[in-house]
Amino acid sequence: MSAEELALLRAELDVPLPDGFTELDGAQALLLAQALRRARERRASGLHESVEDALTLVPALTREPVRRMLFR
Amino acid sequence: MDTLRGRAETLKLARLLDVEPQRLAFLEELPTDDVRLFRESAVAALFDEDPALLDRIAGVTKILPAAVAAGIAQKALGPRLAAALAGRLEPARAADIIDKLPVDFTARCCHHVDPRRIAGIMGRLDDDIVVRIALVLAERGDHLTMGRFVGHLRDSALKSILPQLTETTLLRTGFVIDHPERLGHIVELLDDQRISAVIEAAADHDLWPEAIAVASMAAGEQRARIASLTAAQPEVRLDSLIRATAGQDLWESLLPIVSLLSEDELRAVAALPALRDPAVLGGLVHGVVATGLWGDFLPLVRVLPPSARRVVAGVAGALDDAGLDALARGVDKEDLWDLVLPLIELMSDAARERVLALRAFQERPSG
Repeated sequence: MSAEELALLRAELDVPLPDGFTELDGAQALLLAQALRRARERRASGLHESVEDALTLVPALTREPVRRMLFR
Repeated sequence: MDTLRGRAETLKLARLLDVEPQRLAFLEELPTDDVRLFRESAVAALFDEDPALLDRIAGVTKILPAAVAAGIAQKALGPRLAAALAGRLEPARAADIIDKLPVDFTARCCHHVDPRRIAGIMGRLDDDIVVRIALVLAERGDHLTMGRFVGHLRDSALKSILPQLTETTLLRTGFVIDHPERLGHIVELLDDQRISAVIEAAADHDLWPEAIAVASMAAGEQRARIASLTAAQPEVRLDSLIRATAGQDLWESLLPIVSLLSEDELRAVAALPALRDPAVLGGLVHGVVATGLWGDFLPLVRVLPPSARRVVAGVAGALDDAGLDALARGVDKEDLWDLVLPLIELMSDAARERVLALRAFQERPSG
């Protein structure tokens, strides 16, 4: 049964799965769920790293207030 | 066509999730539209994350002159964040900033842009920038990103870009185009000589699947034009097309294209050495049984050499009951009895009796 893995994939996607995807076996659903999660994490950490890099160009005295404004 | 669309969709999703396409090969077994829907949902899941942070950064960007914002984007934000921001800005503002960026940097951003925002941004960029971005992407071999953008390009930009791309780039980009409904129009912008060169490249670079997919996606008149120009290729190239189709079981995609050929062109195809190979013919018949493309297949059978027709008759006659029944129902549905009767004549006595006993055969319209 792949119900658990399909539920995980559905949760990662945050919308109902297309009908055909209910045919996936557990390993396939898990692979997709993990790939999607990793892609989200990579994107989120990439964005935050880019923001931190950008903040290095902000004068040191105002860096923290700007960071707080952006990440509030 | 679904096999090839499935491959293209899998490539696109693999790129989006940054995984090796082979690991997602199982998706090629699913309905292609379901994979496309999944990809669209995945785009939303990825690009709609953290909108508040991006909107705050975009808010800061809005108050800066475009040239200053471009400088910051390039020196501090990097392609990933710059692309994410482009997706949160008004398209006109994003275009203003892109206008001030080096093309190489913009090209690196393209891969990270929210696909849903591409149309709005592309529509506001000058052709000159669009052309230069496209050429950088082509040089980088980033066909998937090109495929996302090409459907949104104006004719004026396309007319500058197309002559500068290699034939293999045209094939690889067309294969993964995000708006296939635009492909016919893009093909229309290529003259016969260029299309023939693209077909030649498909043979020389083992890109027949890409070429078949492009021809399938091109609308009626352009598809027929590609079919005709392909049929005019030397025998050795056409033979490689048939071998590639047989090797990857792409009859479902090729037969509808072959069916557009004129009688003379069809005869040229039917005379190919590959279509005398029993293994190729056997795969072809089974492919037709699986897809029901009898209307596309039987006109070709009619002009095959006698020895090849006998092979087809033998394979068809050896189909199991379900396969034979599918044949009869397919023929009956499209009223193809006139085309199939000569084939039945070539079958063994036992096979012929099985066909004659089929209800669909007994109930066929007389005449």
